[in-house]
Amino acid sequence: MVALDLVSMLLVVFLVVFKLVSGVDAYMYVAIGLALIAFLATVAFANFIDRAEGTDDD
Amino acid sequence: MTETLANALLLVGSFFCLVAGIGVVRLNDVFSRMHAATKAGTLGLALICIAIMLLADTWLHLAEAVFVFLFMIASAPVGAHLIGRAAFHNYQPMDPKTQADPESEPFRHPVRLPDSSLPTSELVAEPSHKSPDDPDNG
Repeated sequence: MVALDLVSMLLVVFLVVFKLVSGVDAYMYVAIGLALIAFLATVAFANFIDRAEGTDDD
Repeated sequence: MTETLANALLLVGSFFCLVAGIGVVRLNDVFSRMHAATKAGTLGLALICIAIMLLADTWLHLAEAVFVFLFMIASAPVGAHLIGRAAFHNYQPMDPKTQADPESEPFRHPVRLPDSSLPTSELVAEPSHKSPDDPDNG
């Protein structure tokens, strides 16, 4: 769960750096969209875990 | 000058991203891992985004970098707070070295992992600090 959050953040970092290296503008838009979706995924997943009482899930 | 500064920021930012990854692999419980991932990862992303802002050639590229920067700075603490809340509500075990803030509200004792920092030979040599004929000693 924590690692999922970190992986999405590192993917955003990778896309931003790759935009700098390759010069293709579209990678920046992909990074913006991935940042938005990753935040939504974190919030939704944390809510699901919070609702499932007593499960062993991290 | 600007390029040198941006290169240095890229290097330092990627170093902090590496530190975040190592921290997630090496630390013991959810809460310490969250500390590593959120703080070091956000700092790395922020430094890399500042480097992109320094190297931007049009205003649109600058605005995109500023947007990624501001959004990740705003959303990472919120996400970490939600993860920590969900983990604490689901009785995730805490490492023995992880301590709660003494001024925080004491509403439940945390679940503890067994103390893995002590080597087993030491545990065998000194079983406990209780007296040997204590019936609770086992």
